[in-house]
Amino acid sequence: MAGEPRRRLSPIHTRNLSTVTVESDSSDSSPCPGDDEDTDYFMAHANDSQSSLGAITAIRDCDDDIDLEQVHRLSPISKLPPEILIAILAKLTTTSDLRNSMLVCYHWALYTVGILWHRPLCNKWPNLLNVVTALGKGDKSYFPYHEMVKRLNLSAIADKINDGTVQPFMNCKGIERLTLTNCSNLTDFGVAGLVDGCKKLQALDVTDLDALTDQTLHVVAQNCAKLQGLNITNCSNITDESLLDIAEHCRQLKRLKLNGVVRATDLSITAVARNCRSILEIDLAGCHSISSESVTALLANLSHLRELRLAHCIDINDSAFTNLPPRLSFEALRILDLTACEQVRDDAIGRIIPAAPRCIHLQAWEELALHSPWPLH
Amino acid sequence: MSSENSKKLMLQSSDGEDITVDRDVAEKSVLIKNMVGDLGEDAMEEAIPIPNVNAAVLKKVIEWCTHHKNDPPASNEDDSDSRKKTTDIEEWDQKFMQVDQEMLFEIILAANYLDIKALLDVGCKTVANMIKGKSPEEIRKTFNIQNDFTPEEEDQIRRENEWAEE
Repeated sequence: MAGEPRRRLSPIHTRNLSTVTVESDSSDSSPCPGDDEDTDYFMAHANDSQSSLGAITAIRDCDDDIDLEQVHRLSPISKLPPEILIAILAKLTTTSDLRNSMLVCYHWALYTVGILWHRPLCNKWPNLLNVVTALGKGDKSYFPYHEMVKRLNLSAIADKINDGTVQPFMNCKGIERLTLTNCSNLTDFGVAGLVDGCKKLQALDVTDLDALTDQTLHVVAQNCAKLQGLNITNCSNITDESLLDIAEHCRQLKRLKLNGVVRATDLSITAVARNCRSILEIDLAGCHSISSESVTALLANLSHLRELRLAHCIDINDSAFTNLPPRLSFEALRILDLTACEQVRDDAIGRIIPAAPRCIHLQAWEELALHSPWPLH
Repeated sequence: MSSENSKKLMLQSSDGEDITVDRDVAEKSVLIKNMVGDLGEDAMEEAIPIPNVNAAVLKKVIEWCTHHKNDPPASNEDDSDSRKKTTDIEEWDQKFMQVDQEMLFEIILAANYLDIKALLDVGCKTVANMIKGKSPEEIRKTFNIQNDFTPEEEDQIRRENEWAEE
């Protein structure tokens, strides 16, 4: 490219860059912390990239000073359309390769930035500070980074995270997966502030944030109709009041973990069973306040249910299973955890096991399992 | 292999060369497969024009399709393989891709146009491997790209993305 530097687009903030970023599809991913890191993938969607990048290509093509054929001969890679270059860049595995690609030239920066900021690396304190500084520049940053953040995981430095630390992330409204596992200094102010306005949130993990109250979950219910995974393990202040709100508004839930949410009762769990028919996994371990009624409702309504974990739900008894409609079967059920549910006896096991052909993993009160006449499949 | 699949097709490159190819090889291209499906038996009679691909590139693409003709058909795009950002390339494909850059990008464009997903993927991985581990200046040199940033812009982007150092 000889002569004049290529003409630039108008200031970057006047354009909607979020469509340049690669789309993520977190649709079937679990909110559990362990699998967050490896399930990432990027797909460049040709239509999306073209729609917003068309303007740039047009400018380049209209520029009389540039002989396209010569440019192509000198630099054959310039022949690739944006969607292919994005697909190539999306195959880079380290953030340093992506950062180096960003510094190559303006077009490369434009195509790379969304991939790099898809999930800013906040695994160390200095990284977090740097990310936060860039986000905090607002209109003065080179790219509108806050529009590009789709995944945020602060669990690696959980003990350093508080409501003040997360404030710069509060204008990242495109977040799809928010993992705050063990960030136990966070309160409703921080978490509700992050979630408020995140209409695309699909997975939220606030395991062990025991200061959270119904206030946060109300904000989740009001904003996150697309939520598919919710993990509120050990958030022991959460009550039926906000769980009912979740059951009412988050009807696409697939995975729900309520371990140790001791104030959840049949009132909210039966509402979940009635409304959230896509649920695949539900974990109620240690939810002491629920009874057989919840279990019956879950099994009777959720035809896709694969995992039902009821460990230490000590009030559950045989009626949870014997009250099920007689011919109902549980084709999808693979895991049923009845650890320490001492009131669940042979009658119940005899109802559930023959009707659950794929259930290969039954954890029951040990002695009972030993004496049970029904072999596991 | 059924007798129908061993039938021949004639492809006409953008520079007018007719190339004969086994039907099952040519149908690694979703574009050609669909054309043959639409045209039916007529497709066997006349050369199918491939207006975006010249003979040299088309022969290279056919070489790849011939080697991979017995690969299991790609499963749907959401399978676990495509989720991985791996840049591993099998040995034969690595050798196949040892061509000059002009040919490399022509193959990628042809794979995109002809809709041969696996070949496009190998091409993209090859280019990604050429980027890996290089500094911005080394990348520019590799692909002969002009740095059009002002020093101030370059410095700003560098600072705002420092977190991505390692």
